[in-house]
Amino acid sequence: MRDSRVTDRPLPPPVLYILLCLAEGERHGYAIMQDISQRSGGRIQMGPGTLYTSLQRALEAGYVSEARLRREDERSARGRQPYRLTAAGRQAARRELARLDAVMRMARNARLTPATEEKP
Amino acid sequence: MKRSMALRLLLHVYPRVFRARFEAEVEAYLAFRREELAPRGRLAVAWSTAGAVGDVLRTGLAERARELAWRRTPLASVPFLLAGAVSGALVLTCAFVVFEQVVRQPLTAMQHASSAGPSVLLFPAAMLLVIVGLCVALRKCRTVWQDSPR
Repeated sequence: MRDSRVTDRPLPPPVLYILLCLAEGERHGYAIMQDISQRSGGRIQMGPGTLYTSLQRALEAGYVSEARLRREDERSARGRQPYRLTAAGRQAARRELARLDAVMRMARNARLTPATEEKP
Repeated sequence: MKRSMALRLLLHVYPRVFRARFEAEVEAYLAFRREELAPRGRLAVAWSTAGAVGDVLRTGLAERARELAWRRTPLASVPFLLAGAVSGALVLTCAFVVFEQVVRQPLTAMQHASSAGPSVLLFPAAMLLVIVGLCVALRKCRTVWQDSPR
């Protein structure tokens, strides 16, 4: 069941990071964390609690679904459930990025972004 | 205490449904993390473990609060109302005892007059009013909490 309280609001940053990461392919939890950490140059470190509660939100909202394990992975798969992005998740990520883009435009107009900030 | 046992115990901070779904994955996450950081030394592993424990505690308590807030049945209000009523009664009893011992009895002793009449009814009435007020306030708090963005 979809929860409208999750779907109609701006996405929490960890959920957005997870969706962006899964847009490139299926990954299990730890691989998601590693990918986010690498892409952010180590600035974003997602702990296990943050990662799995955010994954739960994304699962509840239908943004992410559990991917099937490959047969050769099944034996060693305990705790390595892969996840994949759904069409709703892709749409939610696009919507959130458009919202952030609008915020950035406003910030640029107000000369608040690092590139446009006036130097003293 | 074994590490896995301590971890299982720690994960009890999460609601049962969450635990059933993600317990194995959180355990695997922590095991991978330990393996990854082992070459950097014990301090790195300990630092990362401390961070993970903090993260689990923080998000676990948030999950518990979320689970509680999502139960919108009238029965879910009962613990809140009971807690409010009991704490209100305790506070009032303490206040009454202090008032009796510190103010009224010394005054009565000084005046050599017993004036217990109206104050005997006044206290239970005031107590009842405050308890009802506390219950209403707690109910209001709960509604605001449920509707607040998470």
